[in-house]
Amino acid sequence: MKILLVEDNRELSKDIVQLLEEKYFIVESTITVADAIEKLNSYKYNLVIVDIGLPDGSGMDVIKEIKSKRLNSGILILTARNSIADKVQGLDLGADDYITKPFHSAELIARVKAIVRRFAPDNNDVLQFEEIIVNMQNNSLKVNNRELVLTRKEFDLLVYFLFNVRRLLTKESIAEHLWGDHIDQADSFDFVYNHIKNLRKKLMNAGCRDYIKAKYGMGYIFGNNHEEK
Amino acid sequence: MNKKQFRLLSKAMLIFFVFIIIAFSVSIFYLVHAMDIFIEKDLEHSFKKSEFRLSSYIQKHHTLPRVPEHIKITLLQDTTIINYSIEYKDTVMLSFRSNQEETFRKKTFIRKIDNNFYRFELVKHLEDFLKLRAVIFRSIFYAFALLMFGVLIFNYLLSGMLFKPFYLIIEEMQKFRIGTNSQRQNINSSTIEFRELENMVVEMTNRINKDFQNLKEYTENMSHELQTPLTIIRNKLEKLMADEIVMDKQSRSIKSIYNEINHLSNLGKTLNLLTKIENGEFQQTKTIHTKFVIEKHLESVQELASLKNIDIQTDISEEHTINMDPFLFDIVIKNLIRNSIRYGTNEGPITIHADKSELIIGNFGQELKFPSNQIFSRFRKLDQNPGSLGLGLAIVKKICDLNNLTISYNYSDNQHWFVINSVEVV
Repeated sequence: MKILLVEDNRELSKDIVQLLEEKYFIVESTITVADAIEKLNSYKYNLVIVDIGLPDGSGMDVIKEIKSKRLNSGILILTARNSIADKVQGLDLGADDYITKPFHSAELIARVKAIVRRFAPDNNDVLQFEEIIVNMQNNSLKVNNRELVLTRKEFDLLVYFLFNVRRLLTKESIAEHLWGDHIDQADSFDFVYNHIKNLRKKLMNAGCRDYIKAKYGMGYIFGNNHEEK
Repeated sequence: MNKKQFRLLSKAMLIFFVFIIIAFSVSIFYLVHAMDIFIEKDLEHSFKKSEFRLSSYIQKHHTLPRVPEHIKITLLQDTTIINYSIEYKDTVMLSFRSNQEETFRKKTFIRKIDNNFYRFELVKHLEDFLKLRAVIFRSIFYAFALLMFGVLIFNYLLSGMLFKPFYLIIEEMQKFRIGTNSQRQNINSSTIEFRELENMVVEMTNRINKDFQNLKEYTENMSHELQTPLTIIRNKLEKLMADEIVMDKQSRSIKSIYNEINHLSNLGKTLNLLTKIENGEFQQTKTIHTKFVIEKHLESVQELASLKNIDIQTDISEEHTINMDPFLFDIVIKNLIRNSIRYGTNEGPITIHADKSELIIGNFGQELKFPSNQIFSRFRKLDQNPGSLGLGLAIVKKICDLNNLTISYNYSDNQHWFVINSVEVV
């Protein structure tokens, strides 16, 4: 899986590259529109992550280039401008998603993975973790090969975990992922707790092992090596 | 001090009108007075003529003349009680000419002719004078009224023409919306003052627009430049959070930094939004049928409410509409409902009611601990809860103010009520 990152802040660029490489993506980064277009002409990328404000132009130009060349790449806009006009324009041009800074690492990973899946050559829309199998195409879930029905939010939560295995997901990040800004952060803790509790109960009732662990009072980690703790 | 207000033209006309009435009354008074003096003089002259004729006759013939019945001349026998005073009296009597009751002036006086005292009672016809006086008075009145009317209309038209550029300038200023570059029409009045006024208005609007652009760029840059460092800090911190060794030692500090970054990032986003709203950047005003929007929003928060065991009861008329940018209305609804879920208790349901003219959202809860008129102030919070910015209601209030809506708050029956009403635009 190859990703091109177009972001002019070197520090942030380095962080994102590292973050994605941990998830076994191959990431190349550029700073300018010109470089990005050059790279797009020479190599094939599954996903292009593009900032809007770039030193030599707008990230929108990169999107236009991808669309005009009919390149089969997903596009994720990464911008500090929380402006609807930008968002509408970007999505109209053919971007797949739009994420505003400051974002949570886990949120970025989830969005990247969601787009990459759609553009994956084998189009294998299944997420698997041990005995849990999620079919993204029809939003169904199997645990130990038996169908398990979750609510919409529980399902989203599980997918968010599966996209971020072994990574600490803070309550804030989970709340934002599930409810956007419909919710005050202060209330999010109870809601998140409730959903985690229900999800865990349903999974364990289906014979699943307990993969969700609360950590430091800050959030939750989904994974299978909690033995040391 | 709330003074009664008039339009410039009406005010000028009113003053002019009062002036004309006064001038008119004075003129009429003067004219009538002059006429009366003339009548008196004429009458007196005619009395004198008759007196002269009669006394000459008496002097010549030593006998009383034959006179019409209403003239009386008597020889006074008793000369001791002679009263020389002259007496005038207006009387109504049967006219010998027209056989109708008419007004006469009677002059009674004593005159000595050849050692004899005669009492004269002369009568002059006054009716014609009075009629003439009335006719003249009426004509003057009509003439004046016509003149006044004409002058007023002329003045009105003239002022209207003179002040037209002034009203056009005002109209242009009313049409001015900050941030929108609408085409302004040139007025080019030939009146120097209005030309100066127009130039000043143009200069000022240009400056305002420029300042606005600068401010907009500033807020945009500010938000842009802040968000990237915040992202870096947050991502680095999340990396630290993934490190168990660090977390075991420093989880408390990291948690606190993390919370503050979240707060800062939300604050930045929200203040930026508030600035954008204040700058009037959302002006895609449409007539919104609120029922649909509210119900759609409720779908996404239903779950949050049920987690707190709060019911949401709605009774929204399909006729309720609001004119504003749909994006802003989303914010209003989102913030109000979020607020009622956040502070609502499960003593009873959250009520959302809308009829044709007003939208009411109410939730149960304890009375405010601060004066209720501060509820829409920025950074006014019920408690020092780090998760709440204290900007939600300030934003709602701002949006309402900018869209000719009033929002009011009151507390009754253990419930907090927010009511949104349309302001009648005159």
